[in-house]
Amino acid sequence: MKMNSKNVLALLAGSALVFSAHAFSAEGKKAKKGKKPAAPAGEAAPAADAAAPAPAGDAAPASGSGDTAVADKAAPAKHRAPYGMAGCGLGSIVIKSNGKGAQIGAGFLNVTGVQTFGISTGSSNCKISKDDFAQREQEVFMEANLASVEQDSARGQGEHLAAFGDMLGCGQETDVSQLGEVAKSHHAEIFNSQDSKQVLSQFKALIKSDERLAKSCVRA
Amino acid sequence: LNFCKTIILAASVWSASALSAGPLNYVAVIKEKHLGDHETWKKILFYGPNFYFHERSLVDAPGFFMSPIGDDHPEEELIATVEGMLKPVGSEKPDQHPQCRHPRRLKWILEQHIVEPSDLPPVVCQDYIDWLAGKHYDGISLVFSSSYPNNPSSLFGHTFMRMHRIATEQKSALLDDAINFTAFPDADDPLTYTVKGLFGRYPGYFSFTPYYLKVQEYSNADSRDLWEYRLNFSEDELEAVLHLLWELGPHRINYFYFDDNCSAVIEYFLQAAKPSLQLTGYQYWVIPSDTVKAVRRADGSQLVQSVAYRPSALTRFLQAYLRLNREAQEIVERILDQNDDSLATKLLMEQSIEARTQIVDVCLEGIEYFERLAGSKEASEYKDLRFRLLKMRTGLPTLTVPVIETPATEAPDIGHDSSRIGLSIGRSDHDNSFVDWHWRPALHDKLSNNSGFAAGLGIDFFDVNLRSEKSSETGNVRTYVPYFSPLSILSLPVIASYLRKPAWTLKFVSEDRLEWDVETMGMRDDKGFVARHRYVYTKVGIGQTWSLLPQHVLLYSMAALSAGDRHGISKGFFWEPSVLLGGLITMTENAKLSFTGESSAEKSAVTAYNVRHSLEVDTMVQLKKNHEFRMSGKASSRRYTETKVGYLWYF
Repeated sequence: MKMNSKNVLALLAGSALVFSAHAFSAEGKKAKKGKKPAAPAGEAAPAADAAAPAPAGDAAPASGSGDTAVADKAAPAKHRAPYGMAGCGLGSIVIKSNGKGAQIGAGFLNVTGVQTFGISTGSSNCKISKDDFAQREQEVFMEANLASVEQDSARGQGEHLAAFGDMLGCGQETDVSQLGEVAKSHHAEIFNSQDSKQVLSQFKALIKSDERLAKSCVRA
Repeated sequence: LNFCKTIILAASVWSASALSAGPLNYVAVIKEKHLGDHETWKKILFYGPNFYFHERSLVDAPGFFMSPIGDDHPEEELIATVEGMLKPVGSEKPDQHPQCRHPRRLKWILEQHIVEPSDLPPVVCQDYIDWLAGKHYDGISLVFSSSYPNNPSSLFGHTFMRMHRIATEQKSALLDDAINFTAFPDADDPLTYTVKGLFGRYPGYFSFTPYYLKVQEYSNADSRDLWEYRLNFSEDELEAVLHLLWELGPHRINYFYFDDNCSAVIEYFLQAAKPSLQLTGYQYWVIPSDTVKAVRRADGSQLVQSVAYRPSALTRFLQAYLRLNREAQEIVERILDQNDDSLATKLLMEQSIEARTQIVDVCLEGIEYFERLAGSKEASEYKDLRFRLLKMRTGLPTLTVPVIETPATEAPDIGHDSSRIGLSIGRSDHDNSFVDWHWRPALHDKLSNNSGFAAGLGIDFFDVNLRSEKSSETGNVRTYVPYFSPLSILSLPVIASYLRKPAWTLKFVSEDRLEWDVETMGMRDDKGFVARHRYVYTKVGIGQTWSLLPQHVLLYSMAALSAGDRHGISKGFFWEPSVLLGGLITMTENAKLSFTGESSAEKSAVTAYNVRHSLEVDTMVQLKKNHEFRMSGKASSRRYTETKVGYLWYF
């Protein structure tokens, strides 16, 4: 009905506490250059990710063709496989939708999950400090849930707002409802911009200026 | 899940060794105890029977195996693995050491005392330790995302896993993590996509993401309900899940439509983490709801601890809409239809505060659904209206939105099984009698009991009918396939009329039309049979439904077009517009009746329009789950009639 035909649903250019298992797609074979999987980032992954991709061999970033080639070099021997998941998983994520064609194909193939969102990650090792990590986590959360948080905030309560409070460490139930009241009464200020990073910093500034929340929301 | 435990394990590994004296006799131990064929070992390697009943690993990446023939010889793989674990750390990064790469295998090898911790060289798996940091879980759920009519990309549903963070650390479900296995396709047109998928040409990988991304993806962007089956996993088994994920992380499993799909791989994954489970077997076909059913039955039905439901954006909207009184519903409809923010304000200001609050909430849910708001996507069509409504909402009281307890459909595990076979006997014109064999691997047709399936959605995959017919005149027997459809979909939305979702159908069909031939004015042929012409075609139709007695009587009409190839007296391309009127009557929970009347006009380059009218009536009585009795009758203006009765068994 009122579907938006835009291919790109949303672009998440923060860093994420996410990684995908295909992060090292080095398998010693088959990495054809120029063959790009449609769903994962590839063309779309913006380099707004401040955490630089890790060196090859450590955590070769996801599934773009170029990356695969790099990873290949890192594991030349057939049975010298890469190991494990990507680093500790900070990376950039991209949410985009494939075209209608792929969606229909996906239905027949039961590979749903790709067709709407391709989530791809760059990756880095874990040399990021705890505070930065929390900040990144919050940025990604806000980018991925902005519309829902905005709606919850207008109502003064809701699951996404509660999750946001949880992420900020606002401990008690009463703190969460206080958070709801702050979000509701300052809705226009918080969501003045549709940029999730600005929303986040605006939101956190308000929390810090609230006497009670400043104390309880320890990660704000 | 205990991080300390891992440290202790690692510490014991470090402190050990160097001292180990003499060559170890692990090969003899493995061979003597036949450990290479141990069920758990094979589960850890994802071994399962392939199409030819031969057992081998599902994993296609050679890098997953320590032995060059490890995907086919579990004993070789075990010997090579132990050998690798015992190898001193060389010049390469310690994290490349087999002990670091294969924590799941290491755990089992130590459990089996093939080697002792003291035999192993000390290795610090720093990357792995870093990766585990902060991953503290106390539960795992299998999540099923429903199939949903009007969204062709979700015909069969999907399964993935949710890892529950320890409640004392994180209360919110959205902040949990999801484990997903999926294909990474590189084509955008449906045909390439489908063909490549059928033959396993897409790589499949595991991914690990915050659960909120999955919720945004399924609930909001796709509008699909989620069912979460919390599984009974011990702390050890949860730890094994992480071991496995690390081990499999980078490795490719080719994604096959039929068997190695998301669902099958998840079955393998679960039993590799909890080896007492046996979910997989020889299976030519795995669909997500089958996995849910297998999990439901597993462990003497003790595996599933609880079931939770998470409504999609559409369900949230509809349920909220249906809770309103009629007057409020009409206001919602006007606001959303007109999409004019000043009109909305005017309408809302006439309402009491309580009604206004409810209406604004429902409208916001509606916009969320119509705009498919997910992630940080902005509303476009309803941008101004949404802005105005949000602003107005901040001035209204904070209300707890009621929790939706009654899902739109029943849990997927209670539905009938997916595959079915059937046997019918019948009688056609001039007393010819026939026997029909029927086979259909998946999934659900409009006449079956709806429990566990989306109402009004029929998906028949690979539907085959084989008929043996005996002529009453000559006694001759002929055997043929009167009907075969690789895929046919019928969607009859029964949800609130306000949404006015279209009814639609899509069918790929090869059928034999039995009828008196207009072209030859043919009677029966000399063997005593009615003429039979094969039509191979695609049919698309679109129309509307009317819910006369909600839950009981549904009427629909459609305009359709078929086009394809016919093998009659005149061969070649044909097209055939048609109109049809149908009804679906649910008499009791276990009995349904449907009728379809259709008028069509067949046309080809060389013939004029041939008009046909046909009527078909079908009834179903469910004897018990998975057992159905069916009866049907067909009549056509081309002087052909047929009646049959039969029995269907789902398995």
